[in-house]
Amino acid sequence: MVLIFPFTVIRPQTVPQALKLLDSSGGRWQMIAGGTDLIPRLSKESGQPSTVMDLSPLGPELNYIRLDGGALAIGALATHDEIARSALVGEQAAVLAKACQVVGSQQIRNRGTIGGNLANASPAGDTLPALLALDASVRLARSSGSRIVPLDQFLVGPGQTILERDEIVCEIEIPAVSLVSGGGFTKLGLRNALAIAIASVAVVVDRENRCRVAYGSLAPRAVRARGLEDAINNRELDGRDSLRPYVLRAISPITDIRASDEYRRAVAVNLTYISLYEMGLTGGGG
Amino acid sequence: MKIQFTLNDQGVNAEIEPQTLLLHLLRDGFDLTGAKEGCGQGECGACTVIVDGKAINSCLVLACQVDGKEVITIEGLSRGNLLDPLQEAFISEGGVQCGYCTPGMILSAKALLMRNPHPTLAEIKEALAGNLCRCTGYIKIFRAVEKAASPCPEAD
Repeated sequence: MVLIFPFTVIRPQTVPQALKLLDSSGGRWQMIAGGTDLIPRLSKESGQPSTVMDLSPLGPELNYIRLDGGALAIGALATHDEIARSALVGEQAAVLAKACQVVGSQQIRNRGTIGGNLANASPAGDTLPALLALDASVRLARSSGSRIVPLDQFLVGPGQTILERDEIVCEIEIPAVSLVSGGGFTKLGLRNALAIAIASVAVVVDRENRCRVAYGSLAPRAVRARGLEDAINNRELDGRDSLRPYVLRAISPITDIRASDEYRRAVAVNLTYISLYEMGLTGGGG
Repeated sequence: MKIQFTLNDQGVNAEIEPQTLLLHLLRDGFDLTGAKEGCGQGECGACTVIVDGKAINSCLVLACQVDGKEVITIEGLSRGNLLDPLQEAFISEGGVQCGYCTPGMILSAKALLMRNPHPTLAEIKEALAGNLCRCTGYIKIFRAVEKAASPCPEAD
């Protein structure tokens, strides 16, 4: 589609420049990075922005993957492809690499950024359950300074976050206790690629041997299943039937064009069981 | 806006409206109509081009975002009458029917071979999973990529 509504594009060359420009924007600018979520939306919606700020020139400052005092720090402009291929992520936060690997397609992964996946906050966003299971935090910056918030607080609802209009996502931080090379991520879609998740599950066993479980596409936003985690960690579960009530309590799926709520409840239980069984966290049997 | 970038190994300039998508700059501004608007949403891959060595959907990129970058379109693969081994393989293996998906399909394969000269079939499928074909059933496309990637691409 042609974007027939004209807009101005601002391309700041440094983060301080970007934040200063944002300050004077009156909070009405639209951010773009990889554009894989934004551009299809721009052609469909009315009320198009008059100004778009392109964050992609900020790559030198905001695209990195590194260990920072024991934690894993990922710049907001790291692409899904870069994260999926990173040896460091594969060793330290494998579940995130697995999640990034199943985003869209190679073309989408080459452009889409982790910061964009967060700011877009789709209930079906692939990185979000993985990051929740990893207890990730997000650093947000504005010209007057920056703040760090847990991802669980950053996400509010479908397409809704606590990001203020003069703030940008700078970095995702995964704490040392979460850094493990194991973990599972499963995404169910209507096809093997170019699919929005019908349901997704991320499971991690952290360095203190505590299990974390998070779901995508099964609630207004990605969610942790803390009741289920407690039951697993207390060794109260054995088999699929025992975990069913905990799974169902953690999720609140809807019926949409991809699946019914009933189907989602059924697959959530099955995907959880398969993930936990493969990681040796539950016995076999129904 | 004025932008400068490398297009099929040549330095070029363009004066564009800011909201211009890369796909339309290539097709309407440079008459490179190999890239197609199959869906306009990044879900079919018919618009695929290579930017800085990576396959991307040109319908999802603002033209201004390729300022300073290297862009390769299907038209840039051949050298005069000399076809790229991938192009030869698509022909010899029957990986082209209507041809609509073909430019994007070849460029996704090209980007794969640029970073992984001997991919497995699974790697080929994953690299091409963002390119939809309604005609061939994909088998001959995969064979074409395997042939182009083999140590002796000219041998039958």
